[in-house]
Amino acid sequence: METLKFAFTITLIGITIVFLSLIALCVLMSLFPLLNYEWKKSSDTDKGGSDDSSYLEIEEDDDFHNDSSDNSSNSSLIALLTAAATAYMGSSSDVKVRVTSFKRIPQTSPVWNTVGRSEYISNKL
Amino acid sequence: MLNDFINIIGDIISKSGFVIGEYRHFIMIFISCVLFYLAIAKEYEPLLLLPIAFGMLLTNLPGANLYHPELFITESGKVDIIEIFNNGGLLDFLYLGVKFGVYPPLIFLGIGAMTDFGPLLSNPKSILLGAASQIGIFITFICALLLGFSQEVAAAIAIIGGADGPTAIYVTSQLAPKMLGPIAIAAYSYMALVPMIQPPIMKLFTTKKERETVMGQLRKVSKREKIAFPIVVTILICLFLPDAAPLVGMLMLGNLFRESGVVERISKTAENELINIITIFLGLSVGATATAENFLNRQTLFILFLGLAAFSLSTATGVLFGKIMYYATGGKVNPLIGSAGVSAVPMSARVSQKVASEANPGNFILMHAMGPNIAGVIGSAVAAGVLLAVFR
Repeated sequence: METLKFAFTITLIGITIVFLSLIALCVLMSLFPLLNYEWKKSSDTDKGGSDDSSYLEIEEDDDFHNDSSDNSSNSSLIALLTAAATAYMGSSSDVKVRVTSFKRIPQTSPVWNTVGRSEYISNKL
Repeated sequence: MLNDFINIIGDIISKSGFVIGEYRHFIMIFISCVLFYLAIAKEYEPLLLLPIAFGMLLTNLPGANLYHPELFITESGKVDIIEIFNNGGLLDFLYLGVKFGVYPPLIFLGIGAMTDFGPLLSNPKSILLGAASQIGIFITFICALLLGFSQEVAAAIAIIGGADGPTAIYVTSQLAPKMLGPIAIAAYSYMALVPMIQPPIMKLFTTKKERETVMGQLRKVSKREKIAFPIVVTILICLFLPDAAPLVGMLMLGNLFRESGVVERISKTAENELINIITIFLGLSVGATATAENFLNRQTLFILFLGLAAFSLSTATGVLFGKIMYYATGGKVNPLIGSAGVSAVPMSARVSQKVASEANPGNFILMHAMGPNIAGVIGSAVAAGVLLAVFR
């Protein structure tokens, strides 16, 4: 009987300590995202963003504002550029990429190449 | 001349292991061969089982006298280092690392350097599953006491439920060094048998609907969080439970090497060369303690049985706590990740994934299961600290 009583006491103490330690750790780990928050803020102001969770800004270009004849086309292009930049950097959804300018360049590829490429892309979709 | 020749030959034969060996030695040699088979042909935890089996073979070769247990178990209870230096053999020297509790923390250093705590950090609540899985340790402790084992031996047997080899060896070397062989072999054997032991228990305590639960995407953990984690854990756990400091401290040091990114050479050494060397020393010296006198008795059978019970109970309590989390979160947690709360990294997390994908082939809970799996390493180290604090 004494043995059983002792065994239950140790069990109770042991389980309590294990749970208390790990609950305390759980609470502390829940606060860890605050580290990122402060870091994000400071990196915005200090560095202008050079890491995963910072903004990537492309310098503003006058052409962006001047070349605004087709707004819907520009919006699609900006979305495409943002997606491409994000995918290229292998980043996740918490990365902020802001396209602030782009410049259209003259069409140099032969028209048959362009058609062939678009067909190839269509087949892959 | 002929007489001399016959006398010398007779002398050599009389000293050979075939003559001076007892039947128990040959049984132990047979058992070590079975372990060779399991390690090599079946690949059951070969990294440790192979050196353990060879250590067992060496120590049971009659007449070889590679290991002298009497040098370590003295009347005063203290190790006589001078005596070991004067009369000890190779395995005696290697065993000093186990006796003084050096090897298991160094193994933890390597494990820390190999472990990514990201899945745990992205879902902190999963650490509770690692705590729940330690309940099996304490239930087994009660059973072992009721079966007549001393408190120290009962504690050492119970820690098998933590499914963490180095932790089991560390606790046993401190509390019940005579039992080191059977306990270490039981611990590693059951760890290797995770894919066979756990699934029936997991299915017994969960419904198909629960097993099909799909869990959401884990958030990305920043480098800053990963660096802060080992420092915070070390401060918190070691202040709270100093007896857990050797294991937790080394585990977290290894992880800090990895995550800091500034000591790549040290990190690679810890996770490769160092852990490999220590694994050889640890395996050989632990195997050497499995002498015929220590191993071939009724207690070993009880240890094997209780070890299995500890492991099964830890799995069951983890799954049951997973069920509680399933209902508490409105069905967002798959209870199968609870079984990964026993350490056995990453095998038990893989088993969780396998059972989940049997229920729902499109379900991927591996990374979710890695959280409790890693938490189990910390949890078993804390449980070991509790037992050492009480019984050492």
